[in-house]
Amino acid sequence: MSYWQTFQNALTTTLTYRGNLVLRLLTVSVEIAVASFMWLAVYRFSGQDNVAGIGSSQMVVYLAVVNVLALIFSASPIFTLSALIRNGNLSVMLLRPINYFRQSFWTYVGQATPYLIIYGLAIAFISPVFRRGWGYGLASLGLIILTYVMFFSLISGVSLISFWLVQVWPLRPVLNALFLLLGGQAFPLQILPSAWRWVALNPFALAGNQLTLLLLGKLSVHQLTIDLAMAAGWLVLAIVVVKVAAAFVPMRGSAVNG
Amino acid sequence: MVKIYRILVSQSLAETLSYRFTAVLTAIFGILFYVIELVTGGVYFSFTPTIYGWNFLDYLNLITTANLISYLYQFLFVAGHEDLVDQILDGNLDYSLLRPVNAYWFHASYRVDFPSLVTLVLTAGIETGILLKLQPTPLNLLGYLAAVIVGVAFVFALNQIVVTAAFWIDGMTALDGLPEYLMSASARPAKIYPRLLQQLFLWVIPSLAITNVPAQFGHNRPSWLLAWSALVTGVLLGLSYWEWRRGLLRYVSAN
Repeated sequence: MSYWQTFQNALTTTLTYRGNLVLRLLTVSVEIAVASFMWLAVYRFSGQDNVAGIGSSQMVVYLAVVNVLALIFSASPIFTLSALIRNGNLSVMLLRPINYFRQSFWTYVGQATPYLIIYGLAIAFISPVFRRGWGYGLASLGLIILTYVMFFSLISGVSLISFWLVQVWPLRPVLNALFLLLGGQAFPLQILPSAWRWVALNPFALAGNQLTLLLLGKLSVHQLTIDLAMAAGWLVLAIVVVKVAAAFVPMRGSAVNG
Repeated sequence: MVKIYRILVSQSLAETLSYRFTAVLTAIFGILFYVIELVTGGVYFSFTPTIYGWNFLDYLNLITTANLISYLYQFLFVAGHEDLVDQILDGNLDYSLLRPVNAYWFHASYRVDFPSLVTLVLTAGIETGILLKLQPTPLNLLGYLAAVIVGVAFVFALNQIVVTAAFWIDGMTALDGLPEYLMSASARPAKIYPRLLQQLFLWVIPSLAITNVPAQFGHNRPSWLLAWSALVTGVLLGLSYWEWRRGLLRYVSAN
């Protein structure tokens, strides 16, 4: 129940700063438009209407969806934890009878809710996912939830680095760059030659590229199974990292409030 | 004037050297995002040799020139602009208004951002390579350099207008990013955009002209568009100076 309130708090905060939300959606729309116009020109001059299995109108949807996913899969938990550690306020959190990571997870969900709703509506109305039978629909839902939890766990694993590093801001551009290149935000990873296909199995690609292809109805049952397995694998790895790192966390009485 | 500027530059250098780690990282990230643009451009041109008459080398010339303009602006002016917003909002302008120099130019040249110098030099190096390959005539090269200077002045004027708006509006931090978004959306061939957007950003707010004109000097000589964008830039600079004078009338000191 306490986590429900955490979720509500995070959502309310996002909705209160409406100016920020609107502006972010606006800038993302501009980015989508620029990339779309560039791709439409590529389609026009290449004389083909199919690039790596994606048609020109689908490419616009691809770019829109992958950019919304980039907003959903943010790296904010890293900076929240870093701020708590630097202020010495982490102990306040740890004193509460709640699990820090669970609370952080529901904050993560709350912050992303407006974007999650956009993605959810697109899945429900544009996407052919639920027209492919119940089994496929359920598996897709499973993949979305598993990928979401997996990505959050990985980011949480990375966030523990703030116990050792004072400055973590450089992680932000690095993670943005990784999502651009490895997550398929700059271009769909299917374009890569077949020897490079394994790139699509990295956690950023599962979150960006693969969830977008899922929405477009481009994931075969075989690929869906592989992605589910990979997401589960990365999740296990993330949990192991969190557990091991947590055991080494230097709890050097650094709290400012005793 | 030159003497004051020399002192301001040496102060900037001293500041940078005390934040070496940050400076190195900023440079690395600049390179990282340039490489991503390069790879993405490579992907576009792996499907077609030309897009609206631009081949891959022209496209590289375009994004590199756009980067060159934005790094030149960052190196010369961005730190001064960031500082100016704070000074206006905190009511600390008096110290510079009291000086026997033009406060508009004092704040414009207040700090030089040395971390972007590394990326600036690298970008200039790549651009030199591209120009050596394109072999423009001496006259075209001159046009290119003039267009880059006009470009920096244009970006400066846009930012100056937005920054000086702090005299009237507080807390519109979102507004500050607007020129940057405009310029990054303009780092593409103008013709990929619908006709209306093209006309708007080539002639009214010529951000597309600023990036496309220098990049075209490799082959053509778009002198008219260059003259027009120089004219608009001049008007914008005048506008920003007028805005600054009006803003000072509204200024309330905190001292």
